Amino acid sequence: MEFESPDVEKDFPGLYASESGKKSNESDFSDEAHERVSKKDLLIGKRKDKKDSKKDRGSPSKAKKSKPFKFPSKKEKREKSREKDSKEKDSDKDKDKKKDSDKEKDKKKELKTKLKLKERKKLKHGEESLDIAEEQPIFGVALPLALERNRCHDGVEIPVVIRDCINHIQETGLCVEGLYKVSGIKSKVQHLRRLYNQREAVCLSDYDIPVCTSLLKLFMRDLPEPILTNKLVARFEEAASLKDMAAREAELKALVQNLPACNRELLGWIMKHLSEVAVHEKQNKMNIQNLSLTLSQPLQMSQKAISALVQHCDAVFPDIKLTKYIAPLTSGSPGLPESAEAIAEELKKQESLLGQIHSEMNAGFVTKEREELLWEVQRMITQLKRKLRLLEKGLESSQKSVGDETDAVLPTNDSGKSASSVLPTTTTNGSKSAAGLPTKEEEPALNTAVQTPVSSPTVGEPAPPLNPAPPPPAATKHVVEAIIENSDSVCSAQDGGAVLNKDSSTDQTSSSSVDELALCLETEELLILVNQLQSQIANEKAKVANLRAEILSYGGNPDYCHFLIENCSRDFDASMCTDNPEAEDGALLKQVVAETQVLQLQKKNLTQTIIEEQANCINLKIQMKLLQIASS
Amino acid sequence: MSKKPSGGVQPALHKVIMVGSGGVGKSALTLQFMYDEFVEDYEPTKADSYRKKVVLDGEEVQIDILDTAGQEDYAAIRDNYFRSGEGFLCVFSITEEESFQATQEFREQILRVKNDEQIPFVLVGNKGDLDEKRKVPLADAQSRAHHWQVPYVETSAKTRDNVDKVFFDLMREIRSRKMEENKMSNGRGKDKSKRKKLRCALL
Ligand SMILES: Nc1nc2c(ncn2[C@@H]2O[C@H](COP(=O)(O)OP(=O)(O)O)[C@@H](O)[C@H]2O)c(=O)[nH]1
Ligand SMILES: [Mg+2]
Repeated sequence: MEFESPDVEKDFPGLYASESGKKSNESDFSDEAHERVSKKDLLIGKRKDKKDSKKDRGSPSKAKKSKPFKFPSKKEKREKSREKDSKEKDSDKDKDKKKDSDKEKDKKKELKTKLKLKERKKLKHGEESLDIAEEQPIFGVALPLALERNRCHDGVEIPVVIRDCINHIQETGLCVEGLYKVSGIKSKVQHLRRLYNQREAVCLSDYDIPVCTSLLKLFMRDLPEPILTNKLVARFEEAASLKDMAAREAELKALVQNLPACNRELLGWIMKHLSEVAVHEKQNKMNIQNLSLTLSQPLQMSQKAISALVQHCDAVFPDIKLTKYIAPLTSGSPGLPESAEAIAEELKKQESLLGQIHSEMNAGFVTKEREELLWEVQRMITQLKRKLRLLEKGLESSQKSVGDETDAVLPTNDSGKSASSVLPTTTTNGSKSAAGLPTKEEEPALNTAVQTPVSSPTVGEPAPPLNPAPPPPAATKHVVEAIIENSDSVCSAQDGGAVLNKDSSTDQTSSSSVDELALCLETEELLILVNQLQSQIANEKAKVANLRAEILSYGGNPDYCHFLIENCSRDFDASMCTDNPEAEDGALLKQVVAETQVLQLQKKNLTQTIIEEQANCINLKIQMKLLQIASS
Repeated sequence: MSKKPSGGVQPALHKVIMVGSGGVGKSALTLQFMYDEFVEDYEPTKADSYRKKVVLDGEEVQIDILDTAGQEDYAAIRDNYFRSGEGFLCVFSITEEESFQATQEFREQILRVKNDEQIPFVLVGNKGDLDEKRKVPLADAQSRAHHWQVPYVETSAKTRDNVDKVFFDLMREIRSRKMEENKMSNGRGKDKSKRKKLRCALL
């Protein structure tokens, strides 16, 4: 491919007039103005956002994509000492006046913040309201700052806002005609910018693709310094003009190494993404030339530079892979990960998030919401750690001594809470989550089933104090808790009362040794069940691995399978891409999707039945054994 | 299984923070209260947080417990936690004089952040089961508590002695404190002050 005339650098036709009018140094001012307005809007409330996003539905964004987004497996570690590097380089750039003034502004703000902080300390808790969007925005600040304030918590060092944009476009936008050329509705773009600046949770996939592309352009255009840096931008331009392909590639490669790590990473992400966009030029009508024309101004580099970087992106950014960002779990998430590795990975994310919350709070941005979040993330970390620890210990904890347990079971001297309450409830939860199906409905069924033997009067006379050796009661609890970690501790506490009543009534009617025996038997059975389920899970995992390998061998991406299915069912009628043979046969697709859904439902029901049956089996086995013991 | 209907309203949430030197049994008390378990091995905490639904004098409430490190290294983040705490269990070990001395420091830190002498606070002397190794005389602890005008309770995370008591006593204090505040600011004081603050920010 040839890239023509070099001198058009500053020659931007009015193709994208709607957005491109502003020069980057103007945008700083407009920035402030926006924030002023935004505050008012914010006071009016967040409900508006939801409406906005609803209205966004059904536009070109939902165009069918032809291929699943190629997000290779994550765990791509690019740990480079970004921080000091980039910060030092930053301070080098003294020639740039605007930057200086920026810095001063920042310093003033910092001072102001500190003052407010002092004032605040005298105020009552919870009344703080420094505006983070105003004091520490994400848009319009130097890249290292933006990154610091808008981190991806999975180690990829680009701002979340860009990651979200690229993510959404890669998933559903690659075939949208005029991608990056068509501008999004301005008010929505501004609204999104405000949300990001405000650190609100944003669901970008609710927005149209053009809104996303405009948002990305806005972020890039608002960077006070070009992503290629003032120092290197001219050399990049030179390199891009080299006629000899190999020389050009080599030179670009070398130059990129001189960029601060965060610039390099972001540049790589954008170029790799643009290269994907160009691959779909048949559908989106955006070849490299069109793209570079459209993006030259926002990216603050010449068309030629863009073309060259896109063209050579694989060689220049060999270590950058576009991976989907999965945000840290929240309390609303369905459950904790199961495997130790997944837990460890999630823990890292949560720790990163926690660090961010702390630094925001330390900077004086203390709101009720952020405090809430702090405790919540902390809670998530605690749960993850507990689960990890117990997974690591495995089931060996059955060696726990009984002594502690008897102490722990002493009745409490306070209201509403029983020391001995946890057992049956956690048992329930244990089998539940071990089955990997934390559906709420299962709980009552199991609960009653498992509890029955304990309170059932089947055992008339006191049985001999036979203690089936291995798992003493203490072990039960530990084993059981090893598995329940993802279930909310709330339920165990809640059920405590009911269980307590039952326990004490049993105590009165039959001897406690029967009770203990029943519990031991139950423990035994549950341990067996746990083992069974664990081996089943292992089996399933092996199968999954095989299937993933198979998908890969067909050239697909296993991580994106579910997106395919989801998108099919949601908007397969909007298929704009012609190179997708299935999409053309809409009726067939519809049918398959419907069938799949029915089957999924059936599967769910069956699983539930199995779980109930398992509980019943345990129940019966315990009764049998109790009777056997009683009669012997 | 169903508890009293709370009318669809979220149960009250009380935020409790465990403070005290390392090794005095903050985590042990927390875990005993949360899960009825006692862990023998000592594993330094960074910070952990737990939530539990309990019935406090017939009312269903939630308690959030934040179990802190107690070491200096985390002082930077400590204030962020202290600020959001509504009540504090200040724990020392009756077998360790130094930990008792340290409570002074913790009390000061809390008062500095909360700026409130009345903050719900219980002085907790833990490891009561190790009375034979006692280094902190009961009278000393009691007189310090008296001086601060806070309750003093001796607990054992090992035997579960008084574990519930300290948490429930503290929750009661927090609850009555909140009721007082509400009364003072005419029912919905918190909301009001918040709104006022926002309006100020606008100007
Ligand atoms: N005998 C006894 N040991 C305790 C008690 N509470 C805690 N411990 C032990 O003291 C050590 C430190 O406890 P831990 O809860 O980790 O202290 P923390 O640093 O304050 O959280 C652990 O080994 C516990 O087993 C108690 O009430 N009695
Ligand atoms: Mg601890």
